[in-house]
Amino acid sequence: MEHTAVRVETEERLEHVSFGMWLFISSEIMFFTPFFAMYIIMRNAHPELSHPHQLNVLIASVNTFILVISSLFMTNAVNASKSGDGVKTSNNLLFTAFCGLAFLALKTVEYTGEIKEGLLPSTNIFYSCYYTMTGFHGLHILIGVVVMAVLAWRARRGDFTKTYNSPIEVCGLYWCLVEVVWFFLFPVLYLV
Amino acid sequence: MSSAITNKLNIFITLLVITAVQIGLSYADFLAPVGHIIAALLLAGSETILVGLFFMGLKNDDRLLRTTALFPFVLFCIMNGAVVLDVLIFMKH
Repeated sequence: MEHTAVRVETEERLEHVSFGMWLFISSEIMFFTPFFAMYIIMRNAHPELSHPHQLNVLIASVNTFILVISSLFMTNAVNASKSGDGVKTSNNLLFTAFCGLAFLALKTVEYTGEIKEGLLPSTNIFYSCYYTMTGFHGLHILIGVVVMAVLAWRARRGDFTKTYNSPIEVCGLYWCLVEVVWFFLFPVLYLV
Repeated sequence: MSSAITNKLNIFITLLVITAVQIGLSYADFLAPVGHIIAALLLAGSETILVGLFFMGLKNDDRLLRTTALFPFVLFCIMNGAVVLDVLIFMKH
């Protein structure tokens, strides 16, 4: 006779997982914070190097829209996982991952245009800051896309149930973090 | 449509409106450069509060998680607030 093990998560474990993820998010915010301080200092020290709208505002605006839409799909995935709907969870995770890929594709187009114009990290300190900040953010997006693809596959396989869905929940928190970081990068780098 | 979905759609629209305001403000010439940065950071902060409360679920989380979430933002405000203050003092002299 074949037995299927149903994984059940205790309330205590769920709290520990959430708390651990929030600690990770805190450390990530503290990782990005000095970049913003560095950027403000650089802007003040070298005002001639950067001016508003010198980067591609259109692509960055579309990317903002893509990230906001993706967070809607992500919250749908979390809600679907809580109700034990594996297919809906998987589909929403795949939509979110697709949005992440679209973001990275547009970012690549933007980088390509800048590199063709000879604007490299070594050009000046503004472009050093720009490539460092957006590069680290892009890396976070890429990690999120890979994790979501794996979770979507697991959700379709039926790994997540009403009683076990913390991986989807913490992935949702991570994706919101990525969105929040972009909310600061977009105006600071592209608009002002 | 359930109230939870309506609520999330409202937040989604609000986030887009705030982004549009950010873009619009960046073309306004009545603000000083530092004023632009402060306005951008404040608007980004308000977007963060909305995402934190409604998409990350902090609205319904316990006090420990809220404090853990708030802590790095306080550090962010102290660090960047101090830098902006320093820039303002530098510009005055």
